Amino acid sequence: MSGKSSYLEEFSKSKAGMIGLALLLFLLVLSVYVVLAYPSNIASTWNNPESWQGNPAKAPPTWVTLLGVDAPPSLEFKGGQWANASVGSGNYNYSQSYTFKWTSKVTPSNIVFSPRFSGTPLEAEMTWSKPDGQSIVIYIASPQTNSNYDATDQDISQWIHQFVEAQTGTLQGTVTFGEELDALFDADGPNLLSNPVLQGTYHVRIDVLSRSPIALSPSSSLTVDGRSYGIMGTDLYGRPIQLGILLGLPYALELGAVTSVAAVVFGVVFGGISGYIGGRRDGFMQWFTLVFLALPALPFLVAISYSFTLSLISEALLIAALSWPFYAIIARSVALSVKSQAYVEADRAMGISAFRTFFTHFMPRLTPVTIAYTVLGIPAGILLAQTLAFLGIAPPNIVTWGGILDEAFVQEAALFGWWWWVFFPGMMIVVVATPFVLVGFALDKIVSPKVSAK
Amino acid sequence: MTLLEAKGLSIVFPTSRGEVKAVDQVDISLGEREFVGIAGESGAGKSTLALGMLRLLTPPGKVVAGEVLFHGTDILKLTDEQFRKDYRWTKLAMVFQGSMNGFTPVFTIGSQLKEVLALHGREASDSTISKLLETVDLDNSIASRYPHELSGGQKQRAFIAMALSLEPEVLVTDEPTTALDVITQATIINLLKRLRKELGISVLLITHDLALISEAVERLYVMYAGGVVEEGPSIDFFAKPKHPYSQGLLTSTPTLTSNEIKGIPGFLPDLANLPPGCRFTPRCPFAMEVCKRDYPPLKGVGGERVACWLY
Amino acid sequence: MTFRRFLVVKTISYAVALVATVSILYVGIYPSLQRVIKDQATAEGQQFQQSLVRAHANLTQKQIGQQVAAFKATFLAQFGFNQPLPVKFALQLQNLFTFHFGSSYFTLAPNGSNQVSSIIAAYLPNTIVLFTTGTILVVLAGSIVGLLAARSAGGKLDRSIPFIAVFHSSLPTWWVGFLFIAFFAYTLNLFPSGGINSVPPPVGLVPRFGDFLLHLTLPLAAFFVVNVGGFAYVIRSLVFSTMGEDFVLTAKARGISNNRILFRHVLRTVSPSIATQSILNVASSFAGAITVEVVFRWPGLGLLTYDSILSNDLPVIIATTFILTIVLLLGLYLGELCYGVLDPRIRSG
Ligand SMILES: Nc1ncnc2c1ncn2[C@@H]1O[C@H](COP(=O)(O)OP(=O)(O)OP(=O)(O)O)[C@@H](O)[C@H]1O
Ligand SMILES: [Mg+2]
Repeated sequence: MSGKSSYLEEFSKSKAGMIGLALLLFLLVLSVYVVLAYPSNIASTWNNPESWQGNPAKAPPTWVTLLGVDAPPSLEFKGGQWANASVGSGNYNYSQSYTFKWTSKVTPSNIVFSPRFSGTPLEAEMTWSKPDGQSIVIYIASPQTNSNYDATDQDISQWIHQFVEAQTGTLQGTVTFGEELDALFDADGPNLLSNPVLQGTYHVRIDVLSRSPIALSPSSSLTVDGRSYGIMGTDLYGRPIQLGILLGLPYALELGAVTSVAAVVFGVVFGGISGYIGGRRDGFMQWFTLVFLALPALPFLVAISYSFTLSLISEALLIAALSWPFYAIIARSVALSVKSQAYVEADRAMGISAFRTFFTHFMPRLTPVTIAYTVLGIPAGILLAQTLAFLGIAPPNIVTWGGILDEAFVQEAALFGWWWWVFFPGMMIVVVATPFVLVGFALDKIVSPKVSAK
Repeated sequence: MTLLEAKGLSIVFPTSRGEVKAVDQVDISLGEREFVGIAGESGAGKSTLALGMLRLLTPPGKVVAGEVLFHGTDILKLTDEQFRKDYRWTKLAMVFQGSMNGFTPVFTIGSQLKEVLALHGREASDSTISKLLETVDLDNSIASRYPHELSGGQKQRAFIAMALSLEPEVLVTDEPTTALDVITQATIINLLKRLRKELGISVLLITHDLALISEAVERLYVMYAGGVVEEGPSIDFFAKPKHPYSQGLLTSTPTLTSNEIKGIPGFLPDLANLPPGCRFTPRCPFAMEVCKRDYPPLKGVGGERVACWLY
Repeated sequence: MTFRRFLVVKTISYAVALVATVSILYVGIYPSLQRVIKDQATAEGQQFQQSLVRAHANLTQKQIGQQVAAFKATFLAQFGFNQPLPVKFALQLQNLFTFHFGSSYFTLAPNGSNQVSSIIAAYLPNTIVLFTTGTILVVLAGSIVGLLAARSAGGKLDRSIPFIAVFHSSLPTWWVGFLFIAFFAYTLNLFPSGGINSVPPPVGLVPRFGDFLLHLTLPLAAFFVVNVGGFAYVIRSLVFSTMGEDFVLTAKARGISNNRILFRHVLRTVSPSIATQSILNVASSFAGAITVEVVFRWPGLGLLTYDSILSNDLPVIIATTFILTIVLLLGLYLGELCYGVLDPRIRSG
């Protein structure tokens, strides 16, 4: 009997509902931002481990340092102009210096040099000077543009090994993989590889030599990979979890929305008609609902994905095809109670055709319920899609939280204590689902008694 | 001798619109072996009054003033448990408005009769049950049936049987005949008359159908908008109702579906925003200035008591 | 409707529903099913060829080729290849319903067999144990909590239930499993992180069963935690609306105590609805139940599906899907029967 405005008014009184709505708007804005801010091929970048070498792998979020964990963040040097000097006899030298302060008691996880240039330089020379004055000189012969040279690469590590040999007097072979960083950061001496990390100022000078003039880009970079990363840490390949979470957001929302609108609208109309017409046809429609209810969504979708390639829309519609029975069952019972109310009978008595009655008087009564369940249905769709992604079934070229969690599962992140890799993507599913549930419950509470009140 | 008595009883329902004064300062009494009626149009507060007297109000409804005396004891002051053990059903039983739905749908009639007998320490044998059903002219086979397998009239009678099962002193019946056909209505009223005579119980009968009870009740209260407007022996009342509302009520033909009584134009006032003065004023053909200003007290007119400035 | 009639009608309708559901499934997996059958034909053909060469050394290459081709044709004919589509459909459905799933590509049953039906037979009981126990616990606890919450409307329990229910709708069961592993298995070291028994299992029936229970606890708890809130929420609303019905008030007037009204009259009245809700819960918690197996490496059909996805073992995937459909339908059928037993309108008469 009360109009739309009173629904809105009542909704605005529900604290949980309003919080949900605010969260929802925030998520929507965020996902629009993601769609606009990242290139459309970002998913393939995400799936290529090469792209993430500049990040520390398996790094916890940086804020753990606030909790007293010594996990320095990464440092990136990029964008500096190259000073050039002709050194005579047709040789050209381009150089750049970096200076940074290291205050942590642990070494970085790696250092990565990424030259960007056009032309063919002869060699790149890196002079690594420690706070105690010792220097390690590294020569990279004919460097390639767009390559990433890290401390464990042969090009760099051989020079480090020489330095270790000079300091410790033992053979190069005793340096195990990864100990290059100890050589670069620990206090010098015979116990170089087990010495404490030197805190202080490090100077790194890069010289690129060439026989002909070349153009060195300011986008060349030197990265000191830390032991922590961003707000949410990184996975095994150094991919930032926070990026994965952002990239997964539009997919989750879109899939949830499409799924639930399709499932609820079909389910409610189907269940509504079923309850309204009653009799044998109702019996048949109920049976039909059962047939779809009995299809186990998860294994069925898995099996189907071997027959057809999924796209976002086809996945959403398939999920909808498997979840509408829930709404049909609810709508049917609401329909039965609406039907028992007097005005529907009165309409009948006045000779209005059943069909018209259904759409003019009956469906409007079901609309509020439909809206409430659409909202409540969205998280169900999101959950199922993420679960499928966790099982490895998702449209290609889409980043999913379920997929990230699948990786975490395969790598046994929970057992290795890489909690951030498990916690944040899963939490995100909850965070995205919760506002819908809050809004849905609030709507349901407003709408339900009015429908069932006799 | 007075058995059950309400004194200055007021019941309200707090709502978002304000407090609905469903029952306002009502005095009512029921003597031993007496058959008393309460009449009034829909929404007058009859059911609320009865439920309040039996401590059956569901929140938010609550008694805000007055007392209910049973054999002189104020039963509103007892603890829930005490009242449940010593009074409910054993002394005060009620046939509800809509008693059709008074049975728990998933138990047979017989088992529900037995339950109530057993819970109050009475003998709960099959023969007791069939005797009980016999008193309300029901066949023994009813006992093994579920409520949904009975007709409305059968359920109504079965519920009366249940109300009588512990031989209460007072039986309150709230519209025991609504939604029944005319013949069944008459049968039920006759049944109540007979039972009262045979079992010697006091009956408080609530109805909006004056014609139906005219021969049954000895005394009558007429309620309007939460208050009693007329009270007296039914002989006097039916000979000539005094209150303009009672007159309208008697000449009107109440129907099941409409809340409005055709004989009296207009509606009940909003119980959450009662005007001062007599509440019937807006609908009263004899309304005077004083009616708008002051609430009329009950005063003796002939053998009756009437709340109206006309007298 | 008498109960017997109810039973007959429901049984027939569920049996027909089974065929219909499986037909939909069949349409969905049609391309992959054909592929699997052809692969099987090729594999069997190769085996046949080897045995032929071993047994009859004097056969020419051409003769062998002919015999193998004939063998393959017979094999494919069993599945209705080169027959009209309806016949093919009927034949392939018949093979599914008689559990002729062929052999797996990689997966082996614990007894070493590569027959998909024996693999399924080994994994299925574990799924049933986990899922049934979980569902029973959820239904029992959810009903009790829902009833208690409705009894003290507006109380602490009552107000906290919607929050628990929010969990239900937004928590992936498998993720909760993860957290449980990280916390109870990794941090506290209270429970094993996965599997169904220790390796090697302890000796003796009782220690062995205890070991099994220990492994069951975490997956069960994850399933329970995720589902119980939603169920309690539904039961609470059901009980709540029932408490407003006339019969509750009249029961009170009859001097029946509040607890007896709640736990006898109200509970019995809503129990058919609880059965209906349990049916829905069976259907909606199914996905969670089979993914929780993956996380805890509980050797049920869920884990089998996951591992088969990793190894692209299509015959196994098709078979588990088919079996899980039957399991789900059976669960729904049992729920329906409970409903019939509980509702006097069906039971009596
Ligand atoms: N729970 C409630 N909340 C608010 N108002 C109520 C509530 N229950 C009853 N009322 C109001 O109290 C008044 C008296 O109601 P009551 O049921 O006692 O009337 P009645 O005389 O028994 O009518 P009827 O003949 O239709 O049974 C009505 O105006 C009704 O609107
Ligand atoms: Mg009433």
